Amino acid sequence: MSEREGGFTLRRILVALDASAHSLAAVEAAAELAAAMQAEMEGLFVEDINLIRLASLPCTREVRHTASVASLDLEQMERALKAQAAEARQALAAAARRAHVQWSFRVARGPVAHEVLAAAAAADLLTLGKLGRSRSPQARLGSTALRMLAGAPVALLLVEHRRVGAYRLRRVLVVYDGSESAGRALDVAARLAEASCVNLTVLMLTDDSEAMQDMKLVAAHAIERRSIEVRWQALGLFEGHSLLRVIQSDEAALLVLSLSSPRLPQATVGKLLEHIRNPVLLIR
Amino acid sequence: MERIESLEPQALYRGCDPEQFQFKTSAELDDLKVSIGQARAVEAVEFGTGIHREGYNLFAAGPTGTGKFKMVSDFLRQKAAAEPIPSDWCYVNRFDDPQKPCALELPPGQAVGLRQAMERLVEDLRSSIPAAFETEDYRTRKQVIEEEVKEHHTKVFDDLQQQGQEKGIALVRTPGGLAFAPMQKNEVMDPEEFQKLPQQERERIEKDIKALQQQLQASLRQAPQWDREGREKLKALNREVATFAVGHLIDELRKKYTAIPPAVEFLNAVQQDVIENVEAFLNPPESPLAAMTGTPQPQQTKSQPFFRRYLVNVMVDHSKSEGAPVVYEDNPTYQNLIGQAEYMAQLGAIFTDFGLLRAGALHQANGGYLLLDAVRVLSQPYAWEGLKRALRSGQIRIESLGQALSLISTASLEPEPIPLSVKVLLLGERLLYYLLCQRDDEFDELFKVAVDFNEEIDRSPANQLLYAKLIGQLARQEKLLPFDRGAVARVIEHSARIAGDAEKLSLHNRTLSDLLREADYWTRKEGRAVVAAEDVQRAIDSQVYRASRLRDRYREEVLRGTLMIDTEGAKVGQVNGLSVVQPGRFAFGHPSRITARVRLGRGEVVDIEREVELSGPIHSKGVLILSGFLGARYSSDRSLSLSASLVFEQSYSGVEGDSASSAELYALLSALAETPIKQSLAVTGSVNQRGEVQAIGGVNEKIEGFFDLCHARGLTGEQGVLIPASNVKHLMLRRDVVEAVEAGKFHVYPVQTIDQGIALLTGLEAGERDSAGNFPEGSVNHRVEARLIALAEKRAAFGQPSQSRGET
Repeated sequence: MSEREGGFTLRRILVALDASAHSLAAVEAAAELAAAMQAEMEGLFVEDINLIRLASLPCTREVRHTASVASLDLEQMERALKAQAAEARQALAAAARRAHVQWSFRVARGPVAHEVLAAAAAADLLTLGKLGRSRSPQARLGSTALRMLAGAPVALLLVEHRRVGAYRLRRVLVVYDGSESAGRALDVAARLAEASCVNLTVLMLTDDSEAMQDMKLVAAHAIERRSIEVRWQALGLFEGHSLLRVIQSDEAALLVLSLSSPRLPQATVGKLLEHIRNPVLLIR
Repeated sequence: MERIESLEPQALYRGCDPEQFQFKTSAELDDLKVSIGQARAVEAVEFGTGIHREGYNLFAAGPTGTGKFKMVSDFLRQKAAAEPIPSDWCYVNRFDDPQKPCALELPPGQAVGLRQAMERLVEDLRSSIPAAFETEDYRTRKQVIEEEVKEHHTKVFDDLQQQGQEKGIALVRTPGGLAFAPMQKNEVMDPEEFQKLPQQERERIEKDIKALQQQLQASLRQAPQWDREGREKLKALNREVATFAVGHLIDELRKKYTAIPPAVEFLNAVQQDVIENVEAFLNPPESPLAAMTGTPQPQQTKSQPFFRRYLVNVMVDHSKSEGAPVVYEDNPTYQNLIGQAEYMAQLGAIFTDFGLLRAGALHQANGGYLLLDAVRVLSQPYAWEGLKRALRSGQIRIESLGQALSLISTASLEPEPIPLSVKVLLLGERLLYYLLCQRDDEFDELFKVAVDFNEEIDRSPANQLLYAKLIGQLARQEKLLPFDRGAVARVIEHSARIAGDAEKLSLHNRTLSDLLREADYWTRKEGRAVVAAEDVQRAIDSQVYRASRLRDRYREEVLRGTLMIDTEGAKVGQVNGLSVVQPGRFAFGHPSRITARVRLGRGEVVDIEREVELSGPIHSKGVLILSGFLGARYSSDRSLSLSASLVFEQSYSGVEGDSASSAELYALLSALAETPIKQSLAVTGSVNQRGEVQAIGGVNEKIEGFFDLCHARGLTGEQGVLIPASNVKHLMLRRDVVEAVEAGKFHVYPVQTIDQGIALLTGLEAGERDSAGNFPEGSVNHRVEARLIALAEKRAAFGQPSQSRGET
């Protein structure tokens, strides 16, 4: 997300796709965002170099979920990856068409995280599913997502597949603690809410009621020129439970967070992400 | 032989003297206590409804319009009111076999209460069950179970990953499953690098991978088992929580219905089913329609397909009944009698369940009385068979026709049959009753009581007073003006005319009601408040006028000479017969010319009508009797050597009945005796082989028919009609006929024998055999006999051809 005088622009959204349900949900969310912000989408499918190598190794076998064992070969693996890429492309094309958004799509081969990071450098926002294909069965946050959280140089949109109903932006939540980076998050959230014509809820993290009043004044001033409906909600200084409950109460709401907020260390954010199912927009 | 005199005017019409009545108008009279003249029918109904044995159903037989329905239904309503109210019946789901819904018997008036209670229960369950499942306690216990399962999985994968890592091997997810691969710098080892490894190392890795793979396989085989165990545990937990949530709600109901064991049994089944299906209360399955269109459906029990299973379908509700039911089914189709399973269309497919079962008339009348019109039952496909089956088996089994006839073999409902105890009362014509008795073996078994309705009563003074009360009662029921006693007397007279008997009164209620209504109409038109005799007369005249176009056309054609009927002069072998035509409800008489010709022959009387099949069997019988009479009387000792032909002139549509047989005999005698018959007279009456004239029907219409023709041509004072003496008691002639007879311008002769008749018709003596066995010279009989002898001799002469040839 690049900022300029008088506002920020969001031109290019990179969507990292692996044809999993989560990444398909991410496509939908990205398309909606792109439509609201008049950005274009770029799809990226990475053929995992690990899988290519795996298929070329003589000693490896594939164990199916039915507990049967099959041999692996390169040709078969490439065909499977091609099929996944085609599926991802199709999903991206369909979502973009629905949202009337410009799009492009490409396939790269290499280590997944590396390829995504390389591509992200040229984008304003990186979108990806919270969990990928290669997840371990019980993980709540995929390995690529974790890597991006730590290393991606751009804003990040993480989306989880929801079993009921398609993704649709209805409300924007933003966590605000008065810090500068939180101010940026607030600004982005307000713009998004305005562009999508939805409500904005500002979750203020503070223990001090006086400070809270100041915080609210500053925040209100920052977004006063946006024509949006704003709700204010004060929460104790990162009281994990209450923040979690507020966010969980509306799983369709988009959560906007700053990754460099002093009151929200990265580890805390990681934990938070594990517990919520909302789409999350992380600002650097 | 004494000459037959014309009847006195008093004999032609038995009036009803208004002065015999004490009342001024019919408004002063009370209603009848019992149906007039139907003592036999009333007793049969009392018997049939009183006897509680199998097969004692009733058939009320009698002509339509005699008030059968009213009499029977009034009686039954009165009787039923004092009888106990029968049970309510419902159909409820059989949870272990929904194709076979259970019938539930409840004390009268309780069914609706149970239905409402069940609706409330489901509503309550839909809030109390989710509430029970939202408690912290439940959530924690559920999480513990879920964690257990998760741990199983995590532990296995963690173990495998751990073991792999120690050996430099990683677990990788592939598009098709899982695989183990040797690692190098956190990535899968490059195949080239792998090849560079020493042989020993490569073998070690392969061996390790194989071992890990086998472990993974074993774990994957175990995984469904862990999941299943988890599900079982969760189910047990859900069951425990549900039992708690459901128990107290159903306990309340159980307490309420503790005196009704089938209801308690049903509630137990409901409790069991709710516990089994508790998930449905937590996440109500969306209706397919809602899922397709995305529209939220109103949260109503009835519209939620799943919750239909707990409905109570009330088939019979006696909450508003007083006494036993009396049901009249106007449209007794198979379904309306037996009940049916309706079908509902849902997204193009049709389905049915216990909630779509609908009661039939038999359900509604169960424990009471069912009135049905026999013709309608018989004319509806399979309704009669269905009714008989229900009565025979003593239970109502709802089956579609397709099922009953084994035409359809798709899965359908088989509701539990409901025991049947009902008195069925069929109403119908007598002919139908007799036909059913003859043709349907089961009819006698199932309808043992015949209720036979009279269509007429004796015209005694007491009955005339009852009849006056009937008139008053009908007038009140129909909200008609009151009838003064003159009008009542006129109605009574007309009723005798309808009965076709001066000594009887018609009990045809519909005709009577029509006359009263029409008399009321004319009275109101005149602006008077009480119906008088003249209004009744006007109503009668108007009825006749409206119906008499055909009669007038016929008379017109006679007057114009198209149809040839003489009313003056005398002709040989020609006589005026009389017949009755009844195209609709109105009957009228008209004369027909009957002629006879004789010649030598072999003793046959040829009836031309019969030869061309324009006559019915009774007419033919009458003609054959003539040969018997002729042969026996005139030709007992020699063969009858004539050939006679008889014909109804200008008759083109067939003749039936033997009422013209005396006329045919007169024509034949006239032809034989070559003696002319007076055309101013007309004749009716049948004749037997002994020459006695016998009674016929429609005597009034016949006399009036001839009178009308003579009157139109001008009464000469010679004209008249010969009727059988035994018909005199039936005479209820029109006023103008009676007046003409009074003035000596028209005559009605009661005739007992053919001899009396021929004397009147020819003006000659008929003649009786003297001691020597001969008829007096110049008498008709003498002439006939002489002619027959002559014919016989001629025939005998023809019979000996050789002799005659020898003579020449």
